[in-house]
Amino acid sequence: MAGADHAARRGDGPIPASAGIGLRFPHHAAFLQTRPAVGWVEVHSENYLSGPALAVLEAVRATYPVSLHSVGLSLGGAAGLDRRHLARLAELTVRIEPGLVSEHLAWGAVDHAFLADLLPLPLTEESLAVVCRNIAQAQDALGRSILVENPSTYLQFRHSTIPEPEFLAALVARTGCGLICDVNNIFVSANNHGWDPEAYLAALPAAAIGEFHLAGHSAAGGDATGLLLDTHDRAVAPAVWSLFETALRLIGPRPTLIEWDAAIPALPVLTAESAGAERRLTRYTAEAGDVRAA
Amino acid sequence: MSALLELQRRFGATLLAVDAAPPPEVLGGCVAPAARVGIYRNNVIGNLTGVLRLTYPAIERLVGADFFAAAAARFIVAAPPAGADLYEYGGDFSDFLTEFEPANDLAYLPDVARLEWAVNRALHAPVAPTLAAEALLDVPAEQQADVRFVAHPSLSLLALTHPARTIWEAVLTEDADVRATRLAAIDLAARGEHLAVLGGNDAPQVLRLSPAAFGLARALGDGQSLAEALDPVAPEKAASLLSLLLTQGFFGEVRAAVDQHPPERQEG
Repeated sequence: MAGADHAARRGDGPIPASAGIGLRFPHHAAFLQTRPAVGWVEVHSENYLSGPALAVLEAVRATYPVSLHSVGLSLGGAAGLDRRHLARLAELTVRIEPGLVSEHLAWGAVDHAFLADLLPLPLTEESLAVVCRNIAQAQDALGRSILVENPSTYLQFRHSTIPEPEFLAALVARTGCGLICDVNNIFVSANNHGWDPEAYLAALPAAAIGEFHLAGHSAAGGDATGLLLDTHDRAVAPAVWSLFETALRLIGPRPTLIEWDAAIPALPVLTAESAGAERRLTRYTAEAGDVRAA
Repeated sequence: MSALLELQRRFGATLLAVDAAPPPEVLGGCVAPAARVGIYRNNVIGNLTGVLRLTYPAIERLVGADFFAAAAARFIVAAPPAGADLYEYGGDFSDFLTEFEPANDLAYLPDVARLEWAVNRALHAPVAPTLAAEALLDVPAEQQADVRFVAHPSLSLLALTHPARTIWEAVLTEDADVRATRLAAIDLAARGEHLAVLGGNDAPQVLRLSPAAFGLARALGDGQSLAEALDPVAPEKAASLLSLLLTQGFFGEVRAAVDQHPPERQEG
């Protein structure tokens, strides 16, 4: 990764298998002024559909590869997708020409109320059919395949019948979508539901994974003590870095994103985190080369 | 109805109702279902409060973070957003504040909220050209009386009863000492203002209008013809008022009288 070169070239082409950062509003000015040496950036699509933020994104896109990560499509919505919202995302996709487009395995809208959170799905055959139908509709509208991210969840439904990694694998098989493997989400959900995080990683279809996500989490208090919360408000936990290293061994290097959405620190703190991801990606790649050479 | 849709309706209703029992399908374990659902409820309220906070920074400064969060939570459960384009969310917050009893003493609050919403609208309005003052020259003289304008998509016209712009400017002053001085100097009983908010995505302008200019802008924005809109205006002021609105970019397009009759359809 040669950060100094970014100013000279347009960020076209695929998202590289290097470390990127989630670009958020408080860093807009600093990012454009300092042009940090990160391989790529990802933004929440919904925050860039209009207004001054869209102009910033276009300026960033001129020199960095950009990934568009939606949080509002409600892929798990039983009543189908919001066509108006989908059309706006399609418009943004045409405008930005992102290297990747992604969403979550979650729902957030019902009966014309948008609840602005990534809500959990019962993992059933019915949900699988709903999510597949919605992914297909989104991919048709966007004219490309999308990545679907494993969620962090705080509850499970009694009537769920399909383990989450199998559910994600079925989405891949039926729709041709890819996956984001959010390592922190696996860690959080595994804690909250008593899963084995390494077994989860091993059950994912490695070839379909197009991106890793990393973020910080926190411990819940009060009557939720014992649960972990996917708060994105601090550095990546040591145990999550370690799980990321396992993911690299099982899956291989992929574009890797650092997300920080609350208690957002100065930009250099964020780029230092992404440098931590970059070091691990580089080390993995070097070790893999050694193995092949032998 | 699909079982999933039915569950999502119940789950959604639970999130928007404080202390509602969690759906029986939710598993407990070491943490009770209600506490698990409570995390999502907090997220929903917290995320949407964050959206309102971005749109209404002056309101938050005026009432304080805790009061704002309490008002936002009540507003959110009463009127959640209709879609995921959240910059469209919160236009009714001023009406809510009018009815919000704890804010009854702060009569100016809804007017400040109207102003902030207009600024938000202008920030997110589609980029569109403004009609140049010379555009009228292209309309044949005999048709000028019938000309109608289309308001620029960024334009909001506000007839406020409180000095909301003065309050808004003062409370958003960054320097705390200057802010306190400016706020202390405000006469809350001062007359209301006629405002226009409009402009590009970078820096919406807030303009004070005379009642005559405001009336003309509103009439033209509502689609009245030039003759109808100018009817109540003193003849000696008509040209300068119209020119003021045009040069400030109030309108996006002109619709000459001829445009109201679609051209003959071309056969073939």
